[in-house]
Amino acid sequence: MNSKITSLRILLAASSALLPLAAHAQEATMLPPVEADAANPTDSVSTAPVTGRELRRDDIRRRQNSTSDTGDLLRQLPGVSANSGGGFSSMPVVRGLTEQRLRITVDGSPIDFACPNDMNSPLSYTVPQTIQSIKVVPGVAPVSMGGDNIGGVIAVESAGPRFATDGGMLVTGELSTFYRSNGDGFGGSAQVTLANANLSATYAGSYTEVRQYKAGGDLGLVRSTEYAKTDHALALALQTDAGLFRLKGGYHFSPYEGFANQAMDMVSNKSWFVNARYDGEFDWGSVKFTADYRDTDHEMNFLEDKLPGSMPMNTEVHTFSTALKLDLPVSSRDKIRLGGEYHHQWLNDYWPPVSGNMMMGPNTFVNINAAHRKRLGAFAEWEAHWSDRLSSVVGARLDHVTMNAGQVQPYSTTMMNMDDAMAATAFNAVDHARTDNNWSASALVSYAPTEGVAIELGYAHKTRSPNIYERYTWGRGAMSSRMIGWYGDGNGYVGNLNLKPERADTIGAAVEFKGADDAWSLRLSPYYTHVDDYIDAVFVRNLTNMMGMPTPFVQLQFANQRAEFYGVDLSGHIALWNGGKDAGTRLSGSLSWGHGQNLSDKAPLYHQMPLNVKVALDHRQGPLEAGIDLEWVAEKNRVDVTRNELVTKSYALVNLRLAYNLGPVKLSVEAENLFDKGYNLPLGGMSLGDYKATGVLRQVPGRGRSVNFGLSASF
Amino acid sequence: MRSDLPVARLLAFGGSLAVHLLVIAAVATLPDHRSEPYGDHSPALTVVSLEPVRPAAKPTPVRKAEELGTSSKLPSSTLTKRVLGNEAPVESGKSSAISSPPESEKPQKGVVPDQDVGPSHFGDDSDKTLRAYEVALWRKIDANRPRGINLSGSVLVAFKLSSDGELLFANISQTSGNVLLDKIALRSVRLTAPFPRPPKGMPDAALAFKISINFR
Repeated sequence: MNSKITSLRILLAASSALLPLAAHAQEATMLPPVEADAANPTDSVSTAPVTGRELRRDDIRRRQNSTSDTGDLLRQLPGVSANSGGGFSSMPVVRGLTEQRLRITVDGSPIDFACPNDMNSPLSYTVPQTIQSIKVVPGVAPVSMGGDNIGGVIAVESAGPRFATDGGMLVTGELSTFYRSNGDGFGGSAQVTLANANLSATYAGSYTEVRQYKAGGDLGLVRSTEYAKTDHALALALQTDAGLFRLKGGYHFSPYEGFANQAMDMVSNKSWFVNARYDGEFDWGSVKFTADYRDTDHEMNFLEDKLPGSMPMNTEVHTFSTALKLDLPVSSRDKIRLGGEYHHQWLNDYWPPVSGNMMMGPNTFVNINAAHRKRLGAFAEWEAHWSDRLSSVVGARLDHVTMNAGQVQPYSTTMMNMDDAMAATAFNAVDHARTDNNWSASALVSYAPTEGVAIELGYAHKTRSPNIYERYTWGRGAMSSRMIGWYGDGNGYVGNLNLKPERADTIGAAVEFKGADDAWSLRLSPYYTHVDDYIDAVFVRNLTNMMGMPTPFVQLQFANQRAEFYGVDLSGHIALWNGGKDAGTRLSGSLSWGHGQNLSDKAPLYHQMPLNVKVALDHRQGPLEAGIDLEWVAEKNRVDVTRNELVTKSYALVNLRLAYNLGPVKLSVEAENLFDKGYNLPLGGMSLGDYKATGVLRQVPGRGRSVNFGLSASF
Repeated sequence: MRSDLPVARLLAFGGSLAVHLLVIAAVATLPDHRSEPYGDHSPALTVVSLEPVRPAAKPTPVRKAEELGTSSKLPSSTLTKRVLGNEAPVESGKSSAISSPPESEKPQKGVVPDQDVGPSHFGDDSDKTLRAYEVALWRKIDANRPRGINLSGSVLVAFKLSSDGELLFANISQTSGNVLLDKIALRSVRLTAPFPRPPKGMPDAALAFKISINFR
């Protein structure tokens, strides 16, 4: 009995003794929380949030029913336009600087285009439905965002890995499907994530098929605008104490894509890729490592609208790139960023002979023989947060580019191919190895004087080496030179071994005013860019056809010239009515004006987007969403005479959108180009599909009215 | 004569155990509070008065104790107080966000300003100094906050300082579910060191803090 009482007392005392410990654990004082807001402009100066623009998932979702073309989606952003290509291959233009001059990355990896006509532009491998965000930062982008560009960076990100937070299994995803009346287009996409607390797997797949579209008014059918494609990718992520490991692999296949403004169409594009990423956070800083490999097989020939005839053209590209980035906080004010990257592109472009054709044979036309472009880049950047209101980021970068290509060969050395035969001989007689050491620098200051005002001022000097086609294409024959070029003008282009890298100096400013509670906002962004050794083209000769008759086309050769671009982008919004969460009416608008001039021939540059204004009224109330868009584009009368560019008239377009949310399901319908306005695309180029079929040369018209339906479900 | 009835003993043991469990539960569910900075150097503990007869607006844990009906009547309530030792008064807690001026001393739920237990050890001056120190701490951590992180989540970091303001340790008290965010938050607290020197006389036990870093 006594021992029992003793042991009971011991038990009581012991448990009581634990109490102070338990209570002691609770005694930590709770300090107020610290808000680390990525939207704070001075905090995020290293990605230039005021100069740069971002398209989020919601912005993309609103338009994914009307287009499968990511390049076209970007046109929503002021200062961004798109040079038409195929139905999913528009080439973005940022403040007048075209795709070759931009660094386009998808999930951190740069993608090279693998075609003499830039048909498989980097964004053609992305699908609007599976993109999480697209960030566009123009020329003053900090050097850490990427090298080998003068026009800025377009970074496309698919959804980051999601992990289960409640101890169970996370199953989430989105399915969507659409139908477009103009072109009878339909497609679907699925994105599913399965995850536990440490491991996450996401599958994203899509399929799209569209026929030729009809232009508005009485402009009729636009030939060579059909396409189909499918994309699949599986992404795995593992988060451990050592960091975040990601592995992604995917496959893209397009059985056909018509190019209205090119002589050829794409008849097969197969591409697979593997991409590995590591993100680690340590006491001394952050580490980001990426490595990827992509293999692309691209074939061109004629689709139905450009028949009869056959001219197979094959391109194979292998790309490997790897990058390491270190963020080192050295004090509460300063952070040093260091990075290195290596990018290797191997490209083989050859045109098999066509049996029974006197000109296109008997040999294979070797356009680019196992060329490579290797780039080794390194940068150092210093980011300083002087106060809560003032930050700066200054950096410098060096890119060492080496290129080479093998010997070439024409179809034959007969009279019919004499121009090419002589050009091949001349090309093969010289050395093709080229080395460039390109340095770049950027300086950006972000100042937020009071709540609701943010100012960013930037200067950058950027350098870009020519790409493989600009340096190594050699054919001088009328037909072979017309196979080269991504300008959509029908002209022929000849490469130039002596091209120097482009060097651009840009100054830009951006000011943003925001009212309280998102009541209104206004952003104003002027810029000026001067480019030395800008790669434009000079006249070589007029092109005649086989009979010696003149054609509307000319032969040009790439050459270094001087150019300048300046302009201003304006955007803003007003919340007309705020009905609480998920309810409100909003008026938003943007205006872009730019001026691009070739300072060497003192004439306008090619494909400069004229003044354009967009206004949108969006209303959201409960499950209903409605919107009306108005786009007005001025006349494009500043045209490039070297390329025989034509003027386009001004036009206005109206779109109506309606959507209904039923729980996780969203139904949407929209009328695009409601009034079926007929117009020519300012950046559309010449309609060569129509020209081949009808003999009448016209510009590529824009799409006529289309009623688009969409259905999506999230779970 | 001592009662050897097993039932009575069982009841007493069970009741005492219940009280212990209740006290542990109450302590575990009480919000964090500022520990007593001055006076005797006894460990500052939250004491929830188990005395009956409180107005209806009494905070929840005590109400719970009353509902259970066991606490107030048992002699072990005195035992509890004795075991817990020093009858430090329960000070009015503060909310987790110092957005309102430091003077707001409104009693928070779960903590009872217990006049019965003794006079408050907090003079106005010591309160202000302590608050000023907490504000200085928060300011320094905020100045070193992670910047430009494009992930969202909330990380609760617990850390302890020495009397010189050196960081003794820092660890994750509540994870965001994202390993990278946790490490970024921890690093930013570690890089804030050296922290401002604590006011003189602050006991070591009082130098434990928690802070939530919210990423958006």
